Amino acid sequence: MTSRIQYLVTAAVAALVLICGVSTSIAQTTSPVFRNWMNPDVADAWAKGYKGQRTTITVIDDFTSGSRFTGNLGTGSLLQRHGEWTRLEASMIAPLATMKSQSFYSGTTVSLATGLNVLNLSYGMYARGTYTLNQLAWSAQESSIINYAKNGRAVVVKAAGNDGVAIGSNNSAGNKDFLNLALAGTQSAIYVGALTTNGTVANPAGLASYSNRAGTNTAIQSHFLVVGVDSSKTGMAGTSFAAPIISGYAAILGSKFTTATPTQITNQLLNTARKDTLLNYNAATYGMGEASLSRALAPLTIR
Amino acid sequence: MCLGLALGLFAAWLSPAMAQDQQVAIHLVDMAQDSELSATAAALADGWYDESAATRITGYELADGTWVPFANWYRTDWPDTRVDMLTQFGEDFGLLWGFSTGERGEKYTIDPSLRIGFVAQAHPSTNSLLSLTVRAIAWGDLNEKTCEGDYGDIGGVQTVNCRLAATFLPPEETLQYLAHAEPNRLHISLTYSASF
Repeated sequence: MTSRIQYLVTAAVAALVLICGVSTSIAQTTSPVFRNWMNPDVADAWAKGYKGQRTTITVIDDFTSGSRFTGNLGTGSLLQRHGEWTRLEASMIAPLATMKSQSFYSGTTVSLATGLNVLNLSYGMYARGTYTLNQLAWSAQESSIINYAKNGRAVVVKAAGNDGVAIGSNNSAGNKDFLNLALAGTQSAIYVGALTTNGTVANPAGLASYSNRAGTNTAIQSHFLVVGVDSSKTGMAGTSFAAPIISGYAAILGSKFTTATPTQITNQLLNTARKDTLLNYNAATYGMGEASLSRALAPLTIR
Repeated sequence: MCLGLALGLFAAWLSPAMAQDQQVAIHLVDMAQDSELSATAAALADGWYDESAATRITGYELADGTWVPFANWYRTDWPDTRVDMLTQFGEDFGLLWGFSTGERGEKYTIDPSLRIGFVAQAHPSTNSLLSLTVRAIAWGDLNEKTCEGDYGDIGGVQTVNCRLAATFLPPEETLQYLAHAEPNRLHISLTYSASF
């Protein structure tokens, strides 16, 4: 079958550039600054000194194509590639996490570092919806990612997609994101949908019109989170920019619970999500709810 | 509860003279609920100001959203109360002695203390007075208690600092920040007064 990589933030598909083994690490040295698109929980995390240290976020994305677009995450207007944006966003949430980048054109196995690994997937693998999952032949890259999620070796954070449909459904072009389907039922995958803004009890947020929703499959509902992607503040929309927030949260959780497994980190984020900050909450739309970093860090009971 | 019992120099004559040529008198010098350590414990209930969030942190939410205020842990029905007595030997020397009751809240204790010292005075001239007061305090430490935090599958049950259990510190590291304070162990005062 034929498959193609589709950016979740744009409909454009860049020409494939094969660069084998592209993987770079970036050390974060600047002091973090709270930006207005972030949830206030993030500032609390930094105030306590927890910024994702001892964890690694690997961003698998486009770092090589000629396709760039403008946005502003609070550091000034920039013209960057898709992967450069998602990497920057995740690093801004968890500024002391070790950031690794892998071009999604490489197709090579994603390597894991020591400590907690978080893989950020702000892309999908689309094919005609008439195919079935077992007809696909995955590259070493996606095979390794799917296996990490199945075996609980890394927190795999997957942007839900921007087709405005339930995960697993065909989009308007009759295509389906098979990477979403392949991650269904795995132990350490998280799908991330986009809210129009960060929700509060006083001002509950709704799902962005473009964002895919959890749907009726309970295996997906139970691994689906939403976070605010306020395009009025950043100039960028799409679930591509929801996933890096959860990647950062997972890294910060890993800083606190230093012996937790990727599956435990995943479940903690899922089980502590809020429903009272969402407009007309229902599981088919919002899955487990809006991720809450502060609740994920809190004990169940204290006495 | 704070009774505000600062009485100042009460100077009650509690005991008659023991011998005709050397009178020994016992005075109640002071009785008060103004312990610095009580204030320290009360401050724990006030939490801290988080500059990044521009708000005062006075509690936190558990994972299910239940609000846990610090105030319940650091309040007491009986504030630390001190009683200072003076046993006077002659005109210019007295033994200071006393105690404090200590204080107890759900998550802290202030131990009772023993207070002992002396006051001596001299008269450099007919209208002046030089006075030396020395007082030592034994025990009376403030110690914050720990909590048992249940972090579920991700972290299990861990002994933690109650106030910091929901912060971004690893649970075991929160124990480094348990409050501990000691009273001012030694107080020395030298005063000179003259009347014109």
